[in-house]
Amino acid sequence: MQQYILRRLIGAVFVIFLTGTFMFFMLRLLPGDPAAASLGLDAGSISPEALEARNAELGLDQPAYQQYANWLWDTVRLDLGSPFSKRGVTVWYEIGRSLPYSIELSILIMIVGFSVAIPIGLLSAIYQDRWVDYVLRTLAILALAAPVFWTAAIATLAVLQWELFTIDVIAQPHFWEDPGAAFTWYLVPMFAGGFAGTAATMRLLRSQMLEVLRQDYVRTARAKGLRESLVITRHALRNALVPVLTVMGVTLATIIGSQVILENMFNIPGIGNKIISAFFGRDYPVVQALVLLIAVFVVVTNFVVDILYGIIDPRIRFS
Amino acid sequence: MSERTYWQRMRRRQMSRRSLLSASARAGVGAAGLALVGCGDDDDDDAPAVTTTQQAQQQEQQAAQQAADVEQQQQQAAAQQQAQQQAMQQQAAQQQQAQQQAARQQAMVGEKRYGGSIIEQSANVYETWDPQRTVASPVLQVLARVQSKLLRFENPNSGELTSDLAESWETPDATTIVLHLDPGITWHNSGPGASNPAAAAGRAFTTEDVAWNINRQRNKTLADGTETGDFGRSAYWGGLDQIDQADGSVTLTLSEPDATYLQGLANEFNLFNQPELVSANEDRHTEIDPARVIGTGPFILTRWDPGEGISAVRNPDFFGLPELPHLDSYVWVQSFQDPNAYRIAFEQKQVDSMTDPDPNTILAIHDDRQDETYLTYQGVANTVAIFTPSNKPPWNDLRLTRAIDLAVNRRQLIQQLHNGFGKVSGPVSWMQDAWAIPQADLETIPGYRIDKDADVEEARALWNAAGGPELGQIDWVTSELWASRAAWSATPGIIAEMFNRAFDTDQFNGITKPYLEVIPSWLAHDFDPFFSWIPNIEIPDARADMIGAFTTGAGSNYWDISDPYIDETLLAAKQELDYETALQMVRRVQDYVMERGQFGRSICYNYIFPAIRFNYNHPQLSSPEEGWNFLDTSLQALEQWIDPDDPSIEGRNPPPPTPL
Repeated sequence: MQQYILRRLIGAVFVIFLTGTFMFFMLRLLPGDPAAASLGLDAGSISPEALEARNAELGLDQPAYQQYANWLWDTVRLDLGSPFSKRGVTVWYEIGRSLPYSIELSILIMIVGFSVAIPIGLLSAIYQDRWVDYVLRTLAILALAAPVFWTAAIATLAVLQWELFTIDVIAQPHFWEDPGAAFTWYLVPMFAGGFAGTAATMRLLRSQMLEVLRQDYVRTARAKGLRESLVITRHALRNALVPVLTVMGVTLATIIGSQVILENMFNIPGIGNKIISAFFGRDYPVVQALVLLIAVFVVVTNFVVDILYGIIDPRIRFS
Repeated sequence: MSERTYWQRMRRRQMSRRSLLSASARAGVGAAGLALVGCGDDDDDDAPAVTTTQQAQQQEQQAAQQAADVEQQQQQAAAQQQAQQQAMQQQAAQQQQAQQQAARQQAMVGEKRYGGSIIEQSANVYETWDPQRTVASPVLQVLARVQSKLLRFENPNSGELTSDLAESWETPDATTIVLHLDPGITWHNSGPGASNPAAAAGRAFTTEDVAWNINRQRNKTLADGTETGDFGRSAYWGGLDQIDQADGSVTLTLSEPDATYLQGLANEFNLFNQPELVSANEDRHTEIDPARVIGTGPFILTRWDPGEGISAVRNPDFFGLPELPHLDSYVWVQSFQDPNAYRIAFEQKQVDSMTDPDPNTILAIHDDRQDETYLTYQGVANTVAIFTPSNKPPWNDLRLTRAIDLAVNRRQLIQQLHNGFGKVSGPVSWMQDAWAIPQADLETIPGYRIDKDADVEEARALWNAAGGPELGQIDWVTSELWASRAAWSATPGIIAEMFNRAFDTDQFNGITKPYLEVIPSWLAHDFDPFFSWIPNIEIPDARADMIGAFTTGAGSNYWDISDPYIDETLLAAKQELDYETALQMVRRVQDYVMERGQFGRSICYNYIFPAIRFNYNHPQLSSPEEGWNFLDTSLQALEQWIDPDDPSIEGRNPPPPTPL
């Protein structure tokens, strides 16, 4: 077990290192002038002296390998630097401000997603090849096929057209500050993200349930006179959820991906929103730090899921 | 204060129209009366006495004739009276119609009101709080509401000036400007900036403040004596030979005659800082903080948190009170990166206006909400141009330069890149309204003709004659910043294709380069063919731009143009105090330049952004559908207003500004 964890840890560090390095060099290959962008310019109305001074201030006048070495050393020391676009604050400050929004939205999307996916997966398996199954599977395929931005845009247009409720994209309240306003703000993105992100889970759960329902121990449970609801929840669902749990780790990465889009569409100042603005502003320290943060998050989540997987199913050995 | 606002002028015009109509009606009645009096006068004429039969017959005939004449005159008089009555009725109807129209307009626009808060989107990036060290317009959009200039534009299109810090001014000759400061101006006395221990809150604005601000930029030095190159207006202020102060007046003596200098005082970059506060903070000028900003303007900055929010509230001690400003506060919310968020914010009245790079979004929203919104069209001051390096081979062959200028399909580019929203510009941008060649004239000038085939045919002939096909591959540079925008990412290919098609070749290839490489190459007079934005227009008077670009040795003459006719005409125009004469001189140079392919400086167009606003939101506009060209921030700060009685305001719940 310890050896397994150690191996996985080394692998995780390597993945994070590769992701960071890849992002560092890719950013510098992209068109765009970070010094000009950091001055808020959209035209050539700047003197070369000012641009050069800005480049020196941002450390962009050094050769790429030197910049890379500096970045690597600073990152190891957990010094993420300052944003190009905002002097006087650190990237950590920006992360601290953005992360709570992203966590709120992630939790909501997962709650919506799994609370929809699990019952639908169950129902679809129980009523296999009946109209309920067909309808639910069609819905799942639709959810899989529809891009999250499309679902969110259509839902937004409906809200605006029929004036259903206020989506306050300016106040940006946290749940603990104004639960009502926060709920209506998050409502569309959480449903759009929830449907898109967990359709795969629903389909997996259905197939797992169908397999488990044909197992001998389920037949035995029925034969000994247990109620069907108990058979489903206590015997079938519990076993069917084991592989689903693994997929949840991957689903989480999907959710983070869709969050980048949703946070921008609804002006949620989370990590995804910050990445896009930093990316378009060629704010290298912010993009590098946030991509690294997401990489760490995805790697750690998958790592934890792998560990949990073995704990939930004792038949799995870490060898 | 008379004639200060558009509305006052409008009301005056309405009054004049009414007066004119009344006078016309009165004149009509008078004319009809005179006609009637004239007829009556004829009736009353006494006939001479006659004694003979012949005379009697003659008298009878004359009497009959007279009776017939009288009858005819009466008929004519009746007809005239009827015509006059009809004219009067028509005039009355016109008058009534004019009154109704005025009433409708009044009902639509409402009385100009005081109070309220405007909510707009802000930029996310501000590189400094010091207006004298910024190169970016977002900084000025905030600070032009907080700080003042010596003068400001009352009409940014024509360049008409009005008082700001200087209540009046004189230009005794082309090298002297005398500015008389308003004696009642004080620095902000409340808010974060005034609370800064280094600030001299509430102090009177003096001539020393003027001299300190100008000298700081002219000498490019900070308070501690350090020299710095980031004063973007140092060249402008460097044009001063001397600054004299006496009895609340400042006399600026120019080193050489320059009739355009006065307008420069109203440029948005020429805002005035408080010496005490700036001196104490200038080493941290890139760290944005409202406590480092103080001004004399109509609003006091209460929050400046880039990417999160900005607010400014009315200055209770502003020297323009009680007439101006109209608003209580400005609130700028964080910028929306996605049009979906911006659309939600606008449609749910969380912001009061909206623009979008894709005009279709704006038009679609307007289609849905025609009753409560209106559209305006705002030109973008960053001019789009093609630069051909005509100072070096092979482009120093005028035939090639002219061929390129002719081949540029300006209208096609506007269509492809800006959805048709834009207008072609000659050597002077159409946004410099008074100085630009009118669009109708441009349509007949080679390179700008509606019939592009004629341009292309001529271009191809010149290209072939000058050996263009033998030049091999030609890399045409588009700025990376331009190409990094999603909607314009295909531009390098579009430019290459445009020339390949025009010259029936495949020589042209589109590439991108950052401004960091492009601008130094311009300054070194060693640049590659280029397409993108070129530096902003600074003032409405186009003489400065033309001199900078086309005269021998001028700072922006990257093509080494040296033409005695241009030099002589433009330098004479610079010193010309008679506006009309100067306009004609510049027009002559424009025509001359265009006949020569613009010497490689092929100005293409200025594009236009449509903006949508709710009916309750009334910025200052140049016409009901057009915004000002540029440089209108100070004007908006004073004149923008909100109509609380407009039905469209229902459901609006603006976020409160950060209080003083």
